[in-house]
Amino acid sequence: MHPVIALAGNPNVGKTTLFNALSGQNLRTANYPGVTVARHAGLWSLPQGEAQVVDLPGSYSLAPHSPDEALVTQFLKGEAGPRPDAILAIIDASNPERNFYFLSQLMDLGLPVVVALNMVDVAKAKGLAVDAAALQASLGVPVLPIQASQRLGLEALAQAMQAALSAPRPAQGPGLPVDGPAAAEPDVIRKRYAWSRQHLLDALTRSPAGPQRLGDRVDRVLTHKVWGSLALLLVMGMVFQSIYAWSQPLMEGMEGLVSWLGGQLLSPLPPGLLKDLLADGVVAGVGGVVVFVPQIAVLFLFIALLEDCGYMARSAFLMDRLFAKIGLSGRSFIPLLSSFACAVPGILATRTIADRKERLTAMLVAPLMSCSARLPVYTIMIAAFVPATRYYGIVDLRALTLLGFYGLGLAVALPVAWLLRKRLQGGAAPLFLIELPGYKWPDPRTVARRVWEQAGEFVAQAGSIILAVTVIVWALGAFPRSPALAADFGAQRTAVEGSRLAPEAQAQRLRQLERDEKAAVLQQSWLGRMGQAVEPVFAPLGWDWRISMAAIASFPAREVVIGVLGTIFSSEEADDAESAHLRQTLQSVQREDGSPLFNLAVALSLMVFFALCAQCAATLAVIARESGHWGWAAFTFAYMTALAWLGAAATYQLASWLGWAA
Amino acid sequence: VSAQDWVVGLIVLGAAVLVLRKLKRSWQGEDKGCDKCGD
Repeated sequence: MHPVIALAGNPNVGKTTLFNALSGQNLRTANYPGVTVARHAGLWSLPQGEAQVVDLPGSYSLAPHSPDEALVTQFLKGEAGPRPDAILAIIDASNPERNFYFLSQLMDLGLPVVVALNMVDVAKAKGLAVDAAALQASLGVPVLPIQASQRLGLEALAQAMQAALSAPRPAQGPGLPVDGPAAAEPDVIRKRYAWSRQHLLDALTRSPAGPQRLGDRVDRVLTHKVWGSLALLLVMGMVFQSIYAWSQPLMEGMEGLVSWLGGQLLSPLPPGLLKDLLADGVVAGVGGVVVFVPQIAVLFLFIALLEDCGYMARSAFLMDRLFAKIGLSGRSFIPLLSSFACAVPGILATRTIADRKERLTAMLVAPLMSCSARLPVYTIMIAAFVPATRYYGIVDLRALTLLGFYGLGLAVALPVAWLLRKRLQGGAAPLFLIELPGYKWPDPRTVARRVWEQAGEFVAQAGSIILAVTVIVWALGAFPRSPALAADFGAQRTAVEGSRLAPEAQAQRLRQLERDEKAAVLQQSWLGRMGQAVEPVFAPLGWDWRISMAAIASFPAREVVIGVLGTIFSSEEADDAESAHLRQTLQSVQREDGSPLFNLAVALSLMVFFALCAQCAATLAVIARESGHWGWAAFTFAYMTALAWLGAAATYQLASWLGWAA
Repeated sequence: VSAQDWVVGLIVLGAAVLVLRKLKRSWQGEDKGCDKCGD
C-alpha cells in the first residue's frame, strides 16, 4: 500500500504540470483556470519507495462553490475514501498573497504539509522574490522553490516529502475553523488574511514599482470592449485563414500518399468480394478520412498556442458581457471554448460552474460548438464547392466560410441558452470572477504533445469506429446480390467484349458497365432500400438517399460521414485512380436524372446540418452522466436534430432561391 | 462459398461487434471522447 499525497492549490498554479513531471503522465494542461475538473492518480518515486500522488482540481478555499471544488474538500477531509497521508501544497510564487489563504486552510487540516513554491521564474520577472528558507522557518513546514515546467527542484521536493512521510508531523496553521458556517465568518476570514500577511512580511521582497508591465499594457487592449473584441475576431480570422492555407498542400500530399498506399494494397489481390471490401470500404472510406490529419494537427496547434500563451482566459473575460445578456456568465464560456476541440471535455469542464441551472444550460449548448470532428466535413465541402475567391488579395472566401461555420455554432448557442435559462427559471447572470493568467511564451513541449495526441486520437478513431462503420455500410450496400442483375450485366459485358469496337472504346464501355453495375447493386441493396425509405424526410434539405444514409450512419461520431460518403460513392469514382479523391468524386456524382447531386446549396445544407446536429454518441452519454439523467441527453439529441434539420432545410431553400443549386 | 467470402463475412462481423462495443462503452459512460480530462 503506497502512501497517498494530495496535490492541492489554487487554480492555474501548475498542479497538473507538476503532477505530470512527478508521475510521468501526460494529463492535459493549459494556461487558464479550470482545466482539471476530476482527480487523477499517479506514482511518484521517492528516495525510499513509491507514493501515490493525486492531482486535484484547483480550489480557492475548502468551502466549495462548485462540483469540482467539492471534490477537493471531500478528498482532503477523507469523505470520499481514506484521508491522504500528506499534502503537497502548490503556491504560485508570483502571487503568494492570494495563494496563502488556501494554504492557511490546508495547514489547519491536521496533516503533514510540504509547500512547493512554483513559478519562481515568473515571480522574478515580476520583480518579486520569495525567500523559501525564511518562509520555511516561519511556517514550520518544508518550503521548496521549484519550476515544474522545467522540472527544476523536484529532487529536493522528493526528499522533503520523504522526510515528511517518514516522520509525520501535522502542520500548524492559524487554528481556525475550515468548514461549516464558522469558516465563513468575516472575523475568521480576516484572521486568515492576517496570518498570510504575517508570514509573508519577512519572506517577500518586491522591487520598487517600475514602468507598467508589458502584459498589463497588452491587457488594456485585449480586454477592451471594442479593441478586445476586434482583436478576438482578427485572431480567429487569422487562425482559420492559416488552417485553410497551410493544410491545403499537406492534405494534397496525404491524398497522394493514400492513393499510392491503396494501389499497393489492392493491386496484388484477385477480383472478388475481399478486393471490393478493401477498395470501397477501407481505402475509399478510411483513406478519405485520414487525409484530414494535417488539418486536425494545424487546428490543435492553434488551440494549444492560444491556450498556453494565456489568451483563452482573456476571451472568456470579453465574452462575459455578451453572456450576461442571456443569463450566463463568462465562466460558461470556458467549457464552450473547450468544446471547440471536443464537447466531451467541454461538458466535464462545466463542473467549475457553481450554479446548477447555469451548469445544465452550458452543458446542453456545448455540443453546438464546432468540434474538431466537424472540420473534415466543412473543409471537404468548402474545397469542392466554394469558389477560391480572394478579397483585397488576402481575405480568402473559403477561410471566411470556415470561420462562418465556427461562428454559426456560437450564434445558435446564444439564443438556445437564453431560452433554456428562461425555461429553467435561472436567475440573473452570476458574478464572474476570473484570474487572468500571466502571458507567457507557449511551452513547445506542451504544444507538441497536444498536437501529437490529438492527431493520434484522430488516426485511432479512423482505424477503429470509422473503419468499422464503413465496413458495415459497405456490406449493407453490397448485399443482397441479385443473380438476375449479375446475369444481365454479365451478358452486356460479353456483348461488349465480342463487339468490333476499338480496344480503347471497348475498355471505356466496360468501365462504364462496371460503374452502372455497382450503382444498380447499391440501388437494390439493403442500404438502398433503407435509404429510399428515409429519402422523403431529407428531400427538403436537397439530399438524395445516399447522403441521407451517410448522415444517419454517422451517429457514433460526426467524422464517420466522410468515410461513409467515400464508401457509398466509390462506384462513382473517376476513371483515373490516381485522381480519384473524394473531393473530385463528390463534384462528379449525379442524381438519377443526370443532374449533379452536389452543388453549393447541397454543400451548405450538409454543413449546416453537421454544424447543428448531435451525431456523437460519446457527447450524449457524457451529458447523461454529468446531468444525472438520460432525459437531458434525449432532449439534447431531439432539439439539436430538429435545429439541424430546420437549419439545413432553410439553407437549402434559400440557396436554391439565390440560384446556388445549379 | 469461397474462402474469400468467409474472410469478408468475418471482417463484417468483427466490424459490427466493434460498433456495438463502442456504443455500449458510450452508454456506460466509459467513453472519454477525444481528450484526457475524464475521471
